[in-house]
Amino acid sequence: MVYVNKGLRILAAGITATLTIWVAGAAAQSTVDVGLLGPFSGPWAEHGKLMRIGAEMAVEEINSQGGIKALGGAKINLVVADTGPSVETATNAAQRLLSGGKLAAFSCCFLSSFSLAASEIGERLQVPMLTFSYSDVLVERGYKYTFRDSSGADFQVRAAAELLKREGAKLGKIIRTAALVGDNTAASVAYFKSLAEVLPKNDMKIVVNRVWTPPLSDAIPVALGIRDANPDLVFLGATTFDDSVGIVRAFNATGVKKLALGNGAQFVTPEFLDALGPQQAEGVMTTQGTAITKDPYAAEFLKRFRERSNIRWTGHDTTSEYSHLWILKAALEKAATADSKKVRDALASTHITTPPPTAFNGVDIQYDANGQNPKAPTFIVQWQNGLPVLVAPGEFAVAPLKWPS
Amino acid sequence: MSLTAIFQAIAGGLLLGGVYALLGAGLTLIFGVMRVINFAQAEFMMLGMFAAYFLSTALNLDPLLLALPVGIGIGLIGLGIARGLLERVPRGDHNAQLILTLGVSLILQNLALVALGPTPRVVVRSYTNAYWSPVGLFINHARLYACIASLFIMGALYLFLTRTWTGRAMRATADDPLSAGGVGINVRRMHVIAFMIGSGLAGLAGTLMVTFIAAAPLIGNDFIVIIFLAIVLGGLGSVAGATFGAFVVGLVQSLSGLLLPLQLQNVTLFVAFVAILLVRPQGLFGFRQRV
Repeated sequence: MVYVNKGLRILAAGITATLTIWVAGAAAQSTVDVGLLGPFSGPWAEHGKLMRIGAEMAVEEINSQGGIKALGGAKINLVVADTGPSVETATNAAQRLLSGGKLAAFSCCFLSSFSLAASEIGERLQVPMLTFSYSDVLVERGYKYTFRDSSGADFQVRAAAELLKREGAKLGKIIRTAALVGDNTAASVAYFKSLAEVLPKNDMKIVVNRVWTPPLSDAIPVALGIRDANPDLVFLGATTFDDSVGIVRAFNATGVKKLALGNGAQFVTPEFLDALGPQQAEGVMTTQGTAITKDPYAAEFLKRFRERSNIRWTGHDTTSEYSHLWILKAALEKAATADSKKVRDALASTHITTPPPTAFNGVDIQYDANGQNPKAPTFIVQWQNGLPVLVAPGEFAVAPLKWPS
Repeated sequence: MSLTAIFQAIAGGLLLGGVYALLGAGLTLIFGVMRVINFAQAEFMMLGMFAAYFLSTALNLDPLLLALPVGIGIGLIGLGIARGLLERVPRGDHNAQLILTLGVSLILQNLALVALGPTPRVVVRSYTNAYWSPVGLFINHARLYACIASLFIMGALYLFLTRTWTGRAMRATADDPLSAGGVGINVRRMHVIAFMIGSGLAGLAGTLMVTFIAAAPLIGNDFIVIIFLAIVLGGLGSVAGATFGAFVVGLVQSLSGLLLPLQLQNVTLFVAFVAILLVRPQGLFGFRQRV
């Protein structure tokens, strides 16, 4: 009798243990943690806010459509962490976010310097990172856990001149001369350095090169210099808000009506439009890594974005994050596990040919050995009637390029 | 180089100088009377910009009409800081006062960043993007109005300092606080009033500027060094000197862009600054009277 009771107890304990493991396993499968590391406070918080909207929209849609089917319908749980205002705070945030060991992958971080710091931690802890930051160093170090589906800084600069030349030719315009106008911050200096190499190869002569230390005290003399030199195309490298607005305001005042391409998202923010108005902003362009293309899915997304956020348009902060979450969904389906190493392998061999991601990236999502999507194009958006619309490359454009007159 | 370009640079420099003058006058008044270097001066300007932004948006009023009430409001904040903080620091302990104003500056910057976010806020009026074009020059209306208003305020400040009892008492305190106390002037009260007027002037300047420079929590960093330069150039403690120094700074900044690369604009400014101080270490107006 004693032996029977003992046997029953062992059997009961075994069943309980098995059930516990099974229940725990089922619980683990019910959600998959995916990180979003971005600047939600500090000087870049507006970009962080837009990133978060994109990521949350994707997560809600994925979960409402049944979650990760390969994991029994597991829902994506977005774990959000704030980089704060500096590389140090971003590094600490990445360390805290990733050291728990629960994340399947994470998306990061807007600023290249933040992404560079986070990618090192991701590489060490073997958690794959998706990024849309511009620095090409991110995908030149041979890291196995860093992936970028959009184009980087150097490629964007090189492609932009060629794209504008091509789109100009369609309108019967030939770009022969260019002006470089901007500040001497690191981003602008790198931008102008690349342009100095690229433009002569595209038969464009640099006729003006005006560089200042921000803030620019008065933009009128710069605009007058451009008016006198009369270039066909102006590259704007102003990185601060006041300088970006000031130079375009001065162009309008002095009658400089030139094709002008900016070097960042600061040229397509709502504040930029508020300061200048649709008429003065008309025609100003900038480059982006992802965009609202002419794909019907992108137009539908923009409609949902407007309803949700009350913001009239969005740049690559939102579209890139939205795209990232869908890419991760595909990788999780392929990996059929939330194990970060296996998710990394799934990402490395992924090949997505349909929207949502392709609606914003324009091309298939595939990564080379360095984690870069080699097919990623450069997008040029232009202010037209108070909205920034994609004008180049022509095959993805929502509207044709408008030549200022 | 065309004659038009030279006149354009001069016009640009004078417009810049007008705004610098208002900021510099407040700073030099505080230094002259209290012997306090107020590192938070540009943050009072930032507060003025935000106050003008929110009030003009909510009430649909022109910031130029709000300049005086906002200036008074910021002055009252200055009064609170002077009475609550600066007056508690042992008199004559300049290091403590300096660190205190630096602390106030950082607190105001970060509070604004947390409460208002980093987004630049612009007040766009009909004159913001409008230009007056006499003889081929381009004069921005918003900058012109700010400069004219600044000159009027400087005139009023001059009258206050020279024609009123309080103004004279402040000048006496600036010249010799011991003797001023000896003839019945409440020196402590003069210190508080000077800080209130100085910070109010900065708030007022912010209100005038917000139609052509966006309000942002860290905007003060773009101005503080330039203002210090202007007041040291004019002679520390001299309102007339600070005004003159501000116009010199504006003109040097503007004209140097004609002859040298724009990147050297601020370098030229500092070279001119060092050169002037070599000849006149007390600054251009650093003699006789201080306020």
